[in-house]
Amino acid sequence: MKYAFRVVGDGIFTRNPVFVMLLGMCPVLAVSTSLLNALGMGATVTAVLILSNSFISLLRKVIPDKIRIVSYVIVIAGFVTVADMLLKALFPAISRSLGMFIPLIVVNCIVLARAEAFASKHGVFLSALDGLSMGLGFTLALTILSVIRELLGHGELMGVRVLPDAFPDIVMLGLPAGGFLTLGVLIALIQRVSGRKGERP
Amino acid sequence: MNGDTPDTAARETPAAESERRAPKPPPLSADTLLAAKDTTARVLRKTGYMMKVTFDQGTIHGVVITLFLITSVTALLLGIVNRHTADLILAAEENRLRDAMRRVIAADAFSRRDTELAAVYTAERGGAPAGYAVVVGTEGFSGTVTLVVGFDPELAITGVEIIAMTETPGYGARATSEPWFLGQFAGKYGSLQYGQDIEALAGATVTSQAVLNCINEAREAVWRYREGGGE
Repeated sequence: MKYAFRVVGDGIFTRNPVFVMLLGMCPVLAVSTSLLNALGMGATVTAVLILSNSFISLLRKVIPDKIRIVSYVIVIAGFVTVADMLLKALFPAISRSLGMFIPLIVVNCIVLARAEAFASKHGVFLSALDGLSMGLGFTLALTILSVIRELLGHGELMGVRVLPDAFPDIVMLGLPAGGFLTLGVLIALIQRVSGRKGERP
Repeated sequence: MNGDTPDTAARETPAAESERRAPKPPPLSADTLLAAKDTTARVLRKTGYMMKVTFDQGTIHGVVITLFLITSVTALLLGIVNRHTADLILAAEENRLRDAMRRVIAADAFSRRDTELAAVYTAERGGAPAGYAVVVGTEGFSGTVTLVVGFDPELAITGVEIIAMTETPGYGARATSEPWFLGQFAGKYGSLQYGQDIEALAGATVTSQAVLNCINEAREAVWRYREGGGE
């Protein structure tokens, strides 16, 4: 039970996939331009993580070692394609604004990393829990980034004007360069607060 | 006599040389044949042994069967989900297009007529022809800009709407966030150019030009469709 709590804490805070493990940066930078996109992407990745982790954990004793990566990718691709079709059918607006980044979850290294590093070595319950916490950690990071970028870059939140019109938009924050800068500053702050010393390269 | 010598040499050299380079193989003796048979048998035995070991450990079987099962189950799952979502996805896309067309031209029914240039839809209101809606895309600053353009029967623009684009936020994307830009095209006739009656977006020349190209291409498509005999 204690281990279960640690798994949850790891995924969301101490080993946050974005801020600490630095996994899956491409969708993080591309999708964090607006809060709505961030929440849509976060929810989809969380669902895929929970499902793929549980199934890979179930199959971990059946899958021969030599073909485990292929098998993981097939399982993950299956769930991602299902998620893509469901999003297109039920939430066409979100699906359109996320575009290519939903199918690209197949190659998102968070999902494969958790399959290989956790689900292939733990039971179903813990693996599902790990998927949930890693997914929440990913969503949390995306939310923080996108709130900063949407608020300061466009003066809006969820597409609604929040800041007074006189407040100047920092347009660059909405562009890819702004994504890199925001992420870099946030990671530096988090490392500082958590008292970690940077490793020498 | 002296002149004969080189001639003879020339005639004999090729044969002699080939003889020296590749001596004829000795005739196959019973011993060599037996040795070859032995080697073949040994190799075959070895291969058979290796295959047996592999099969005994179940690796080949295991790999093939597991992979086959995983892919089949995944394919089955995808098939089921696709069956239930395909119609919804199609309907969602059609609704979106129809809504966009309703916003650019006041009509209640559209029927698609494909032309070489673009998809032209003839619009009707209460059974009477109301004009045309055209879906057309051209290359913008980053990716395709796709527009729906509405025309009344006299080919005056009734409205313009962008249905898909990936232009830069704060620059090209202002084509959608600043309503005056698309609004200025309504009521215009003929081939359009910036600086005459209509203005481009400052800082977004490429996007502005893409929008204008779309509109001009849409008019061309309607014009050709009418020339082609459709009404």
